Amino acid sequence: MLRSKTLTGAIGLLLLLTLGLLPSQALAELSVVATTTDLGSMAEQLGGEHVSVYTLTRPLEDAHYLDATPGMITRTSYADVFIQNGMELEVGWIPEVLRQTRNRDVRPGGPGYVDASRGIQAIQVPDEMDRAQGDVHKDGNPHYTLDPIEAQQAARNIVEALEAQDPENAEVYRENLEEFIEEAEELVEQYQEKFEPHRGTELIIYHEHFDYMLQRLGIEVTDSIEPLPGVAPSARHIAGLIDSYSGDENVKMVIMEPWHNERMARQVAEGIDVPLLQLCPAVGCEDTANIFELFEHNADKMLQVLEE
Amino acid sequence: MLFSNKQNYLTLFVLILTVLLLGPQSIGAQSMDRGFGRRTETAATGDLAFDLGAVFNAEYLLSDEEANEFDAHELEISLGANIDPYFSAVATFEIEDHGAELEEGFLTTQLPYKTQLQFGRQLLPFGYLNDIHSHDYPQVDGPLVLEQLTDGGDLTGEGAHIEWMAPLMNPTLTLTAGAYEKLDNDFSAEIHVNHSNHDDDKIDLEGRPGLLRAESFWQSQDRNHNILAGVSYISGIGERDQGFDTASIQYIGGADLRYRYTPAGDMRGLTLSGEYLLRESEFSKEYSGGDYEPGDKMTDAGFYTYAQWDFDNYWGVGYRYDNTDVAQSDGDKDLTGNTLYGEWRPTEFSRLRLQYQDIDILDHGEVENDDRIMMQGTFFLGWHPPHEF
Repeated sequence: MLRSKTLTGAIGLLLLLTLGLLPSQALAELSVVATTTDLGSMAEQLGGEHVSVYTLTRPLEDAHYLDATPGMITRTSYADVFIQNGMELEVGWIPEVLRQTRNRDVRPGGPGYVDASRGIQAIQVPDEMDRAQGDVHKDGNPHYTLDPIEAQQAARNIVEALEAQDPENAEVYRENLEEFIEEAEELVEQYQEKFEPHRGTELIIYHEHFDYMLQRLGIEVTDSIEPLPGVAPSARHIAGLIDSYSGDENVKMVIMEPWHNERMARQVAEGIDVPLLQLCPAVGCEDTANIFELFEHNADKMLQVLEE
Repeated sequence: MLFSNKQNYLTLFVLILTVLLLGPQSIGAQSMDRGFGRRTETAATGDLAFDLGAVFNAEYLLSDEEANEFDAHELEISLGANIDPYFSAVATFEIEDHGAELEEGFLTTQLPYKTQLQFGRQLLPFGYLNDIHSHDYPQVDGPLVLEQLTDGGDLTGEGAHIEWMAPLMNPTLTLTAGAYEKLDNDFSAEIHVNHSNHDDDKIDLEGRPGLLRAESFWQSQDRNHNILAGVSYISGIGERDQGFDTASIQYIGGADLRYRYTPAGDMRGLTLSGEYLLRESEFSKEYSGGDYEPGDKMTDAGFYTYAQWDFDNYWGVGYRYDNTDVAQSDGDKDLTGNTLYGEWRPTEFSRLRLQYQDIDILDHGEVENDDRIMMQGTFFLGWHPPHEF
């Protein structure tokens, strides 16, 4: 009798533990897994209370260099919708996650799979593919979520999957999409006006991360600290940059992502006597809640330097 | 040397022809995500994921200058694709000095209740390193315990295994069970379902090789700390091939643990990893000689552990310690190893390693020492190498 009670208790405890360990999104209407915090925040804006979102990367993590973990595979296996940035941003790890996921719905071709880059008007699409050009992406620069206008297409792609997986709330998702598009238009228009006096200003980047945003604001990239995408700068390259841009009054600043070598970037900035700005690469950095706040945060930071 | 005979040239020719026939637009092109995983591909037509990888090793032995080598160690070609919505396939060919072979060729399909079935010829999901191809090992060479107890750390089976993923997010739990027609490893070459003509001298293994594994992954709330832990067991392996013609390996058990520190906003990172293996063998009833009696059991055991520090995306250094005891008919052999290495990853497509290794072998009371310096270059042609935990 005692043994039977003990066994029942143990099973009950195990069940409770199992339920306790289940993710909260398993109990929500739609469980969404997104690769980046930018896409995760968009899913939250578009899905509202009907979705529960988990993002696989952290705000200050370069989404290109993650490892595929068993945790990611489990998350996608139990998700209703999976959103990836696409354009090879996650090429090192997402293919492995999707190969092993036990969920056909979120694999390419499934109703819950979203390649958010579908239909994006990409920039920096290489004329020809050659690894001698560095770690280039055949579909172009994948960091389109830094530009709210370009992100509108990604939002449409996300809503399509939300509707497919949850037709009952399709109307809500469409309304949220309209609001998203409207807000993006207003925000960008407002900042384009602010940047109008600085149109054509030049700067040096570390990596091609902010190029969509810069292009939208009319700022020109004159050079980069990485000699080629994904290739570490050499001392000679750094010296070459300093030689080339010392005294060049058109170059107003150096910008970088937090995960790159700050010492190198500072060397260049000090060498050519311009400020070094560390911008936010993704939602969640500096408490930004969504891609609009991210855009605002980065644009304000640059504006502050330009107007000094 | 690579391609030193006609057979190898012929194999390479057939492989290239296959690639050209299957995906003429594919070489040098890029990913087109069709849901097939770890490889980035290629084919403009969209049906074929195609990998091509090459590994070149240069090795210099301090202790034996005559044995120095500088050669193209391995060329690996992989093909993979989704066959349809239900099946995907991978075939990996390996061409080495001694010839070419199909290293892996298997199909994968998803089943209900979050299970996955994989069948064909495959590296077994035993421990952490076994199903990793040797050129992706964390050091230039494999740990001594794998070399001694599992025939080089590439237990390969022809059969199937099924994996179930529990609905637990953190920690996760994955259970694997496999059954194989035979293992394609030296120590089991003569024993599988078709026993040799000398069955009388051997132990009845009572069935085919079977495998069990449980694996769990845990991540801290801030995701800075990641732990993967697993236990594995494989039975019915076959004849022991180290001077024990009449002993059979009954089982190999293993435990593996891997920790990674991955701070956000920083490309630095620490990896601590290790595996412990225990192998039990049994003498046949006809055995005579040495320190053992017929029916006696003997145990081999060992472990490796290593630490690697990555300064950034490009540079890393590490240290590995090996310790393995191998039973012999007249006393154990004890191997210990200390390995220091550094690696430079100029891009994601190439990696250069330099390694110093000091191995001591205690055998019959005498210590034999082997010092070596190794260099390795790993070059990925065409596809983006996968990042796995």
